[in-house]
Amino acid sequence: MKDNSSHHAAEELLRKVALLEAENEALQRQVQALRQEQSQQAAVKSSAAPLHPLEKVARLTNSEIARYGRQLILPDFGIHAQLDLRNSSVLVVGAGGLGASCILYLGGAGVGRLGIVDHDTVDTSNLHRQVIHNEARQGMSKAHSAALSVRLLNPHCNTVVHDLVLDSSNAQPIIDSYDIVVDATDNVATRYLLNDACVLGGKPLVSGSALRLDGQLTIYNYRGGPCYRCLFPTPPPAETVTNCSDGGVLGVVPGIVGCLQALEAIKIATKMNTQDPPTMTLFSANSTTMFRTIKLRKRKAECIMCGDAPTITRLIDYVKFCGSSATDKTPDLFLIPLQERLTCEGYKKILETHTPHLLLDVREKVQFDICSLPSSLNIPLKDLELPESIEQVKKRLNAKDEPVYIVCRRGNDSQPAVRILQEQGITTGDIKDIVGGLNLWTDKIDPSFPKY
Amino acid sequence: MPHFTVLYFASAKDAAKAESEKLDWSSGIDAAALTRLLVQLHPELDQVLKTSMFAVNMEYMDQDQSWTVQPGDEVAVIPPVSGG
Ligand SMILES: [Zn+2]
Repeated sequence: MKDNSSHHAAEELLRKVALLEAENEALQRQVQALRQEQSQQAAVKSSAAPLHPLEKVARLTNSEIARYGRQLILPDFGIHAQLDLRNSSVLVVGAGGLGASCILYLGGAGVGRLGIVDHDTVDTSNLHRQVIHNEARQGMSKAHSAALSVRLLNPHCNTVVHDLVLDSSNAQPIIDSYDIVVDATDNVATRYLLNDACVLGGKPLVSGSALRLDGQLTIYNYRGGPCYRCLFPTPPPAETVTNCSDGGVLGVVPGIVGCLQALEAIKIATKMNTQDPPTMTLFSANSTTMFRTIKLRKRKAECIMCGDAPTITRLIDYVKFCGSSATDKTPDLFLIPLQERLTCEGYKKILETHTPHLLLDVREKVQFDICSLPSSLNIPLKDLELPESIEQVKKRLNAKDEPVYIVCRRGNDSQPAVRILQEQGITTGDIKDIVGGLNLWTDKIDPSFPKY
Repeated sequence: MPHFTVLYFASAKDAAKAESEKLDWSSGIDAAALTRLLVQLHPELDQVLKTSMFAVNMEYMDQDQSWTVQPGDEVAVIPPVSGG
């Protein structure tokens, strides 16, 4: 009996040792991977245009054949398509939600040269969709981080980092040095810039976009098909454009569109799609029909960019043309003079002195549900003008001269809300909004208040 | 009464507060008449339609081309999406 139990204990110890050894080995591998990442990081250098042309090869090396074997044995792909891919260069503009999947799949598939344009830095609030970056790279240049991920995935792919904001002064030579351009950007101005530069440079433009639960995919300026301006000649007014930061986006949605962009770029590089008519693919994540394909026409003869008599023959000022900047950052609104507004510190004093007032929060309900200041009343800006909303505000006022303070996420929506309540003459007291909104409240007053 | 269907995408879906709807068909609904009809039904569509494209039965239609909605047609309102 005694013998049996000591035997049992020894067995248990051996089992634990084996477990620890396995764990140790896994940790060693992780250390090695991190070391490799560090050395690769040092190797990824920004390259200033002009680039030397991509050196073409007539055959793949043995290690390339081993790596791409699953594609090489595909009857509809094979060695010729793989060689075409190896001998082509693709420029991906944007290493965000669309670029994340697109860049990884293009790099993994064996594109010869992969250029990456982005001037932003890695931010944890974007990692839900920008899965090519990671937590440890917070603050690192996104173009560098994306190139690093590709090098770790496939050292055969020649990555080129363009850590810059693309504009009309620098875009043309960069675009001219690639075979295919992928539009994975997040703003209207850069979309028109890329379209025009691709028409001028004669490059196919694989354009993708995503917001909330919807995505779009089109190849522009390819085999007689339309350009972006043929379909959308007028840029939407800046105030009607929603970005991911304000509208929200489910991370996997740009991921899906980015995968489709990688696929289309591969099909162009390997001439798989030369018979296909131009189309636009619409992706709706929560519709019963997730994918719809719209048949497009040929380019428009009267298009000012790609038509028979184009009036745009060189790049223009796209920030001016679109009335919005070449980023997806929400600009600050200056509708009401600063001295007529309330600072975070000012509102803190009102709370501390228990001054009677009504705090109106004009964010959408879905945002109000995340976090809100105590005893605030939530009426979204878009509903504020409704008679029942005005009634609701009036009901909450305890005196005719009770001040109303208005707060939102960034201090933008709160300004038109002030104007609406002023027009309604809702109180004889102050109607003011809080500068910088709840975001600034977290930064200046209460670091424990959630920021999103 | 013959009908036609309108499909709303992206910001058009938000403005119309619907993914699709069935409307009564009448003769002579061209691009301009369709725009007027949709804005009348959903005033918030006014801005969106200024920069959207139409597709009829999954085929792109020029705004300035002569075409009219036929009974049973499926008209898609497609605004540009710019996010990423
Ligand atoms: Zn065009």
